[in-house]
Amino acid sequence: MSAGPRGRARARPWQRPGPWDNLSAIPGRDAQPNEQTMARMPIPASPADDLSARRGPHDRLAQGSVLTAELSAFLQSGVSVILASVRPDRTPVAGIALACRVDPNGSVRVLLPRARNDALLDAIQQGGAIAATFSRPRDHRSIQLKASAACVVNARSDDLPEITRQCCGMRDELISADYAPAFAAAFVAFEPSALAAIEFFPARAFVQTPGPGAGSELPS
Amino acid sequence: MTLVTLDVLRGSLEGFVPSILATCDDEGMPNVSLISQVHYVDREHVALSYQFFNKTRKNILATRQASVMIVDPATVATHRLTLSYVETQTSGPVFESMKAKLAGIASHTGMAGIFKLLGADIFRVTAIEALPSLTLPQPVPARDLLSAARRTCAELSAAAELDELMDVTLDALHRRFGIAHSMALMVDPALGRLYTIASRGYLVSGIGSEVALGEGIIGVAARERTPIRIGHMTSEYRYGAAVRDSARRSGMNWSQATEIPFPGLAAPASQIAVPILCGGDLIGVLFAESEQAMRFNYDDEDALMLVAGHLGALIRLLQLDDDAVPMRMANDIAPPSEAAVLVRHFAADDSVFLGHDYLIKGVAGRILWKLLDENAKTGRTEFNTRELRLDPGLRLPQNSENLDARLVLLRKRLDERGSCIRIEKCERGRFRLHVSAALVLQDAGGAAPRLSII
Repeated sequence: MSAGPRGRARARPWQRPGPWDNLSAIPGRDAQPNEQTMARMPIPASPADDLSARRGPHDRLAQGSVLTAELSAFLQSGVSVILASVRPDRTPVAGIALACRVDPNGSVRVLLPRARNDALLDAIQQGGAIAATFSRPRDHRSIQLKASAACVVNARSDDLPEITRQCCGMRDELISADYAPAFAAAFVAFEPSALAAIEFFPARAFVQTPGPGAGSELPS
Repeated sequence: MTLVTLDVLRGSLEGFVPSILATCDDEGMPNVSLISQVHYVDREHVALSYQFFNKTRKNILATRQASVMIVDPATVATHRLTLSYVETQTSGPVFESMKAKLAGIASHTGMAGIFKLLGADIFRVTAIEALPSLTLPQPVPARDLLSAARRTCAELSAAAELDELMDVTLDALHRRFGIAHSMALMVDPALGRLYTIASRGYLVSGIGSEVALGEGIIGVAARERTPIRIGHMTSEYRYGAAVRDSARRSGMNWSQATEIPFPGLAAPASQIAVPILCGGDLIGVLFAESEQAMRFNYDDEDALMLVAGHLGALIRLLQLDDDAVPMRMANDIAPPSEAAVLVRHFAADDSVFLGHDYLIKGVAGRILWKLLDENAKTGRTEFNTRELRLDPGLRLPQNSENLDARLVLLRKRLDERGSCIRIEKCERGRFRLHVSAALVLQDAGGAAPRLSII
């Protein structure tokens, strides 16, 4: 199952939006991004980066896992996390998450605001499969994970610091892509008492970074 | 679920914030990706760009279902659209509008020349859900576009002549819409070209400069009779490049000699072109640009379409009002005051040169040559538009509003050059030819050049 053909490029959606004159009245524009994550990558990532890393010897995170330690770190680095599942009537439903935690055994725990994702959580609880794409606005590196089943659980208290850390990372990513600080802060805002988690063991991984090879499956 | 319509969500469809597109295959395996374009088609439809035959595309064709999450760039309000695939369009207004936007996005993200729109996938929006999220206050807009459009239309209704209509329009764009750089162009259906008849905010007016139908943002808006916007300017849609390419394709140095440079910003970031229509007929194009990226949004597009629609109807009304006026002979021919000026006419393209300087060509060139010829033979200085319309020698296009536009163009070109020839408007439908120097008329395009001295 491929998310795109080899040799073709895909859109780079996190574009720099230009002047935000219409946001001039919004407070919080002066928020300063984290210097560490402000380092820009002048050269966008390429699908070849992830594909070539898998051709040579690489250490799997755990037996049967499609993840490596490096990929696991990327998933948890404070990037965009978007989701999809399927209802019993075979209609897709889109969702959005805040953060991700990867267990040493290779299972992935996606953390998300419950109210905004009610329909997606329902679909998963009714047996829907899951797709999760992780994208870094700075260089457009994107990885999609898929699993035929997932389960919905409550977020744990120890998830909160990790959600906060990753949301700050994503906020700074957006600011480094010229989004207004007030927008970036609101985009990742969450209510700590209304969080859920989706746990799944990724069966397949695909590189979705725009460029030749986009959509290719990463060999496990 | 909150009941909202797609109309009020257009801010989320501008492409500021990427949207989330979820699809699934026949076996129920989902796919999710970020997309930069969810194009507003109408109250019930959106279009997604089809660029590659990827997993998303396969899923859409297999199940015809999609779910899209969109985010408002100002308030962060989030909505989920449930979509049902209808068809793929590979030409027409929606396709061209998306193609122009995509070119801008590609240029902006370093993907110019790689992105290519293969089709516009049209979806019916079957449900819209407002999703809970922390929202920011809606910013106060810089201006009320509906009010600006209404007042501009009122000002236009008071204008009595074509050039006045154009001047009022471009002045109003500046005063009421904050648009400092704009142009109005009229179409020449016979030649398939548009020519600039008025402009604002440029060092040179560019009156008389031309662009072909289908070339650049202006030419595409004219050909498709649809508004075209680009938020991140790309060389692919630059009119300057289009004009140069056109000249190169024609392979003529001559075309460069008779080419009036287009005005325009050196580095525009945003551009918008809206067609001036009347009853489905293309009359011209209203064009605006800015050095600010993403300057023009869906609401600007609507407001400018309202103004252009009113302008088109008024241009047509002027044409219908233009009653026949009896000809009069001149009694007082102003004596020539300068040394003789050679006026050459080249029949191949009806270009007219004053001395060595190119002045005008095409229909306007033919008109000027007729006026000068008649003036030389009979001493007439006063003419009316009706006689020009009926003159078979001028070979005017059927839609005679072009004649008025050509006269405006001709008058402005003569005025800009400060030439010894001027055309002065009289009462409606009539105009006067002023010649303040001795002219030597040379028809350079015929087998035997004819010389006459005034």
